[in-house]
Amino acid sequence: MVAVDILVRAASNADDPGEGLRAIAALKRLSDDLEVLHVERARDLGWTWQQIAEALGVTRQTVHRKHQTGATRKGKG
Amino acid sequence: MFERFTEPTRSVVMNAVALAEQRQCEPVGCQHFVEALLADPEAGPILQTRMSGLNAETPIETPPDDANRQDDDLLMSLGIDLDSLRRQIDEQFGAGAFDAVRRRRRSDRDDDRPHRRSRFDVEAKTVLERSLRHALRLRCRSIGPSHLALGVLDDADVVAQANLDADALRELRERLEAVAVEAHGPEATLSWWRRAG
Repeated sequence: MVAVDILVRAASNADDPGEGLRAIAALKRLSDDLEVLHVERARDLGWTWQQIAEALGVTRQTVHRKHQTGATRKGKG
Repeated sequence: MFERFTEPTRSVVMNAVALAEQRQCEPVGCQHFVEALLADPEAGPILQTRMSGLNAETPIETPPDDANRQDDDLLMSLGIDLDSLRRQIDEQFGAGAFDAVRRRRRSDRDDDRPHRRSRFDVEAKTVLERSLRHALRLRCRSIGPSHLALGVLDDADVVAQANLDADALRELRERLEAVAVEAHGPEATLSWWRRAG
C-alpha cells in the first residue's frame, strides 16, 4: 500500500496545507501521465472509449475529451 | 481559409504547433512559424539567407522543464522513486515512454478547463490571415509556405529579432513573392494540383 502511504503523507502536514496541496497536485499529474499511457495502450488493443470509460469509472464523454487529441494525432479515433 | 493551404503549408503550421508543444510553450507564436518555415523547402532557402541565425542564436524561449522538475522534487520528497518508476514504465511501454508522456502538453487533457484556448496567439493568427491576403494580392489560388513567410515578415517583432533592415526586408519579400507566384500563381494551376495532392 505504498500509494496510500504516499497520499496520507502528502496530506498530513497540518501546519502548511499548501505543502499537502502541492504534493497532491503533483501526484495527480503523475497519475494523469500514466493514465495517458494506459489509455493509449487500450486504444491500441482495440478497446472502445466506452470500455475505457467504464474501467476508469468516468463517462465516455469525459474520457473522450481528455484523450481523443492524442489518439487522433496518432491516426486513430 | 485553411482549405487553401497546400500540404507543405499545412506541414509548416503543424511543425510550428509541434515545436510549441514540445517546449510546452503554447500558444503558437510567430517565432514557431519562423523556425518551421526555415526548414521548409519552398520558403526556407530564401529565409535562411537573412534569418538563419534566428533559430540557433536567438533563444526563442526557455524550455520550461521547470514544472516537471518541481514535480520531480515533490514526488521524490514523498518517497516516490522516479528512476525506478521510469524503468518500470519504459519496460512496459517502450523506451522513453515515461519522459515522453510527461513532456506532452498537459492542458490538452486538462479536465478543468471548459474552453480550450486557441492554439495560436494573436500575432500568429494575424500571420495566418496575412498569408491569405498575400495570396489574394498575388492572385494565387492556394496558400503556400512562401505566403506564410510573407505574413511572418509583416510581424514587427520578427523583423526586429532578425535584425532585418529595409533593404533586406524588401529583398526577402521580392524573392518570396517570385517563388509564390511561380508555384501558386495564376499560371501555376498544374503544379498546384501536384503540390496539393
